[in-house]
Amino acid sequence: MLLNIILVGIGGGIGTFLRAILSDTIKKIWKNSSVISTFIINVTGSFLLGVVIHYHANDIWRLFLGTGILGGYTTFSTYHYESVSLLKTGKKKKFMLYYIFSVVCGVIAAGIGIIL
Amino acid sequence: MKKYLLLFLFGMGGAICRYGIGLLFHETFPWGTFSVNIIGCILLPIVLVFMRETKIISKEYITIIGTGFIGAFTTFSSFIADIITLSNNGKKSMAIIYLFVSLAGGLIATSVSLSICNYAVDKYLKRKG
Repeated sequence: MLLNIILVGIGGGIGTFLRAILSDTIKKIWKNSSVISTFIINVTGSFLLGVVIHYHANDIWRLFLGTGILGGYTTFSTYHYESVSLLKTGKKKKFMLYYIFSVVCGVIAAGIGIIL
Repeated sequence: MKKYLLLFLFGMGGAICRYGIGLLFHETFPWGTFSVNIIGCILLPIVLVFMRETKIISKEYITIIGTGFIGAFTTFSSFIADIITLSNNGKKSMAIIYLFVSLAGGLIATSVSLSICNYAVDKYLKRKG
């Protein structure tokens, strides 16, 4: 039990760290790219979780890599916060594109990851 | 560098809280992931709007709590994996319900929280003069 908590915690820290670094880097390359960086992070994270599920369906690696690292790496709250912000600023097309494509690409990416 | 160390620590906290909430549920529907995602959607505007506008905490900590703790507390990858797992286990209608309830719930939670936070910021700043 304690080992599980430590694994999830350390994994979550690593995932958060990776997300912050990647998002800072992407924002330096493209200005106003908050939505793009969250999209890339969530889709790549979904793909990698698919791979983890394929190789480690029910063991301790799933906990460390999946629940820990990839759970910390991807984010649902920022995705929604950005979506609502787009909607509130009248960018309806951008909202639809971002909102729907995130889920569609996420499901396809995770599906590919599981099959691989 | 200090920023990244703090992000690591707050991310740890967020992930452990998410895991803890997940342990509370042992059901066929992914209530754990659903709960953390909706709670996170409610919390994020409080940090990014209320705390930022009222300057209750420093700008540095807005990022650390918002990106670090709440970002790690919620999860997109598990949400996606849950949909695929339900669907692969022959629970296709459950997968679709979960997908729509999570998305609609997230949008509603974020919008309502954002509106309340904007209102609270107004009140707070007026009171402060």
